[in-house]
Amino acid sequence: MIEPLPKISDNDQLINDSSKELRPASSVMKLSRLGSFFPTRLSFMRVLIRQLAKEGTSVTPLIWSIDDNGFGRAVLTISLYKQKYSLIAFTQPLSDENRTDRVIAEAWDSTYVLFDGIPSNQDLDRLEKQVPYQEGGRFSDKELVLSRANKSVRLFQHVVDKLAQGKQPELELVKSTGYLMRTTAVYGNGKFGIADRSKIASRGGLSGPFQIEMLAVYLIREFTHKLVEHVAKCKSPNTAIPLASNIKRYLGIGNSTGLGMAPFLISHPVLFNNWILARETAISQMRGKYQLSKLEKKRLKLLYERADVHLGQWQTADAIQSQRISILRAEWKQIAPQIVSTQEYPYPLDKLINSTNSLSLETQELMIGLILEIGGDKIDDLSHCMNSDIGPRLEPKMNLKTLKSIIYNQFEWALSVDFSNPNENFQFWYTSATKLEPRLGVREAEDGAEKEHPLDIAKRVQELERTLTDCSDDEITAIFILKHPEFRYIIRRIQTASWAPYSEIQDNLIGKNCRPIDMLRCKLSFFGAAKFDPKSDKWTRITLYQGAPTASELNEPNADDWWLPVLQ
Amino acid sequence: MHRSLSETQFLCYKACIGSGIDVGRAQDISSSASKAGAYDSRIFESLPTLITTPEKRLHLTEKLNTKSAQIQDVSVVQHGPFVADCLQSNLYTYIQIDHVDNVLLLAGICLHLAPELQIDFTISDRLVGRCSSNRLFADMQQFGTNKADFVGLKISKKTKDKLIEAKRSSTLNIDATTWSKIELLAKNTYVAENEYSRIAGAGAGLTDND
Repeated sequence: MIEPLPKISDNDQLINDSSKELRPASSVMKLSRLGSFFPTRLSFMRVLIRQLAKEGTSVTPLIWSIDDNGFGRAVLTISLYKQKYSLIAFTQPLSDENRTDRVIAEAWDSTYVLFDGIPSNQDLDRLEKQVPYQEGGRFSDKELVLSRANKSVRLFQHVVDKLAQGKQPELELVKSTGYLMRTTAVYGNGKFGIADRSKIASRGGLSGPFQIEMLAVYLIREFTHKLVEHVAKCKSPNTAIPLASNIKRYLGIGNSTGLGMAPFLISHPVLFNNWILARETAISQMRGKYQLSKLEKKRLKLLYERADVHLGQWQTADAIQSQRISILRAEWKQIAPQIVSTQEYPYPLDKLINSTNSLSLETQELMIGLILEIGGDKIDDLSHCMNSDIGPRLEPKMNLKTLKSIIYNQFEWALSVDFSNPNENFQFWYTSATKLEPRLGVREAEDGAEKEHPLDIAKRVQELERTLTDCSDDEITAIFILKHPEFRYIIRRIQTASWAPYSEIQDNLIGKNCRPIDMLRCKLSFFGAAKFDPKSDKWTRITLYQGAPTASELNEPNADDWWLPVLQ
Repeated sequence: MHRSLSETQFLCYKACIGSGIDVGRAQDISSSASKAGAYDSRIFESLPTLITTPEKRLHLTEKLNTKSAQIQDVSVVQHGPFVADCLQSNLYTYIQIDHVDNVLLLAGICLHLAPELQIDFTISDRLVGRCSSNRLFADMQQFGTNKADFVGLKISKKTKDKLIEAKRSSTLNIDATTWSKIELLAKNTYVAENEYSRIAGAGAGLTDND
């Protein structure tokens, strides 16, 4: 007979919360789990919005030289910690034959640059000759982010027409699209001559990862709202109305993301470790929460129900993701009783997480997002730990005995891959000569494998382990690398993993079963994206800032309450 | 032309790989070059030659009981990281180099790989520079941006010498000819597109309009 769990009693009031153990990297760092992540309150967009709200900032349209058809240039300025940043937007007509939302496009409906400060007329004239060409332009360190976006063919004109008629757009169309414009690239950190990240990394509000890029996208969203209302007003000045605030808040910025984003997680192992470590630390803190307050209980239930509606509004044509969503919807409903029943027992959030252990990874990770959401300011400070000033470090003094020990303790996953099976050596990552973007090729069918990117971590670990077998345990790394310089890269990664346990994805990234979409979803969830809509296993559409407060709502009490938004 | 540090570092990394240098050293050389280049952008003029230098054998003589070593002829790209590793691991506290093909890049490597150490640079026994706390202290005229003979690297604790911090730029100025030479080496890492890869390689098909 199973003993019933003891419930929380009045005598337990003084029991302190304590952190539970972190989940092991061997579980967290599997691609299948990383590819099931949902946004949390530690996601970068959430962090930025809290900063903007805390600052009580506002967005000012400094210049609005847009014609009746919506073409021209505009400047939106925002202030953050006394520093001004300006989104400079250029819009132009785009013929149907030039319209493509792939990154390889060469013309767009709108192009943008985030400028450091207030641009002079000279700056604007200079940038008007460069920004519309995007990768073909050349920029200075006054520019911080470069981006472009195309109108949603489904929604933009519909919204213009409806607003011009004095009506709001059809809710079903708003729900199924979710944005007025869709970006196809957001470039930061020195690309094409724009400022290096180091220029702004220590500035107030921008020290966290991708904060400047997230700020640019937020301002692009503001611009699209203003643009659609402007065109509607010009079309019918007497009847046009503004967008309803609930619709405006629901409309984010679309984005399509492909392979270009995936290698980042491999090439920034310490940064990636810090993202995961902050997230896992937050989870352990919430699991260690002894009991919930009345307010927290109420909020948990409310958020659970919101997530349920959100899942109902999550649509995709992708067969695999569609099936995963179906299972998730069913399992989410199935755990409804636990949301209430576990609240009466000690460590209710830990119990809630444990209650999903036998369910799908999507359900497990959605539950993580839910329990983090009620963490509030108890965990928000962990966002300060998500940056990294240092990269992977080689420890040349380490002896080979220690190095071997790290391999056997932390890289068992790599040693277990059977590379004699052609499927484990199936694909290779490379840079396309045409667009200088990462691509995936099939080793046996395509040329170029000799130019493979070093994402073959498991294979390199195995080659090193074999070579180390014949070496003295007392030899130090510096001497070993002098004799075998080809292992410098993998040894540095292995040594780094000894102090950054979440730095490696623990799967074979060149195997046939590797799904790059999992890497994309993981990274995008850290950005704060939801409603992943894969177009293949290498490509997904998402929406950014859906449900986020608009600039005029930043000072409202619910400004931070936009986890898994729904449109009612 | 103005170039950002990160775009330069990335191009240099690809140029190293495109010249046949292993990934680990390519990472170190490109990071070190952008660190050193912030002190004098002319270093990039030498880079294509430095990274395509034919393989050189390292001739090292260990001086017993002194934790010091003498190296005859150092290719900074091939051996520079090892020199920094030796100091970082405290295998040697003093290394004398008879000839090195770029002393500024060697300083950049020390800044990158041994940031916690204070390393004094001498040329013909005269103190010309110091790497300390991720900064370079040197008279850049004396330090030079090219090859040097009789270079000494010593782990030190001295701080009273009259070495002033060299001025570091936040962006780089690299002429078009030099950039093109580095780009040419980087191109060796690119794979030409074919019909299959154009459609399947990126996973998006040819259109993704909305």
